[in-house]
Amino acid sequence: MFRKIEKRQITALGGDKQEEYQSLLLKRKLLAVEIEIHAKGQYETFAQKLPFNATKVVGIVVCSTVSDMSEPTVFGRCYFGTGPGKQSSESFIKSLDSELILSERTVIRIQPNEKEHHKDDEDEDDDDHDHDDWTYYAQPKRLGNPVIKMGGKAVESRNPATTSILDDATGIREDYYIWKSQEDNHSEIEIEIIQQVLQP
Amino acid sequence: MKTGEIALFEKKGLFFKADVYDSQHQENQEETNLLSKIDFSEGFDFPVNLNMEVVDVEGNTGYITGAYKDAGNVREFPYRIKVWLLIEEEPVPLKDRP
Repeated sequence: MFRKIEKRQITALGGDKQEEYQSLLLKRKLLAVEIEIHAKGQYETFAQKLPFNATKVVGIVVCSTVSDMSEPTVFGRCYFGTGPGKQSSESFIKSLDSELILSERTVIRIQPNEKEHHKDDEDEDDDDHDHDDWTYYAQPKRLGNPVIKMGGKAVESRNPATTSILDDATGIREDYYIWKSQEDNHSEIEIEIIQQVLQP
Repeated sequence: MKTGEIALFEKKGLFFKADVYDSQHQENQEETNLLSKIDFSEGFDFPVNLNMEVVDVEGNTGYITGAYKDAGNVREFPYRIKVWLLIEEEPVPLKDRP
């Protein structure tokens, strides 16, 4: 609601030319009408009932939003989280958190020791670390080697492990590159992934 | 990109006609301004980027009707058209201040 006090002249006396004014409280408010267009060339009509106390329509704003209603392009699903050393099995990767890759840059935050991992996977663990403090990131192999920054520092992203993973949401199985942090992490870490190749 | 054309009608006929352009970013800004930056002390002054068209149409006509025609330039559907009408209500007389 927009309010304003305005003085309007109500009389003008002829003899001494004294003018009188009355103060009026003017109130304006916005009403929105929204329509959806579903096809090329569509003709759509609409009606907006005006409030009973409306005296005037004094302004119009028209907005068109195309891109935010369209489906975003999905480049794939990435998996991330923490776990014991030398993990690369499909079941381990799918036990991590996942997110759709929707743009060139993805930023995720990983809490250490968030999840219980499969016992089978832990049996494959090496001797140096058997706790869940290593950070893992996996994405489709077709997207190539991204630039990966953990906690603001770029990490080595060459020679990742490869595993075939079935995306349960789409039913598509494809090879994934899997990266593991070079140091174990004991606190929340932010990972920034910048894709070098983007293809749906 | 022009998305289409819009026309608004009151009881006496057409009072507003305009081409409509994709304004996703602008709309977000506008809505933010409208909802969170209303400063009553500034009266009716709108943010500059609102691009409000000033009209003067009787408001006691019951309905405002409108028609929108897609221009055929948009590839991805659906998309959304939002029309904001700035309505003025019956003025309330105030006692004169000293």
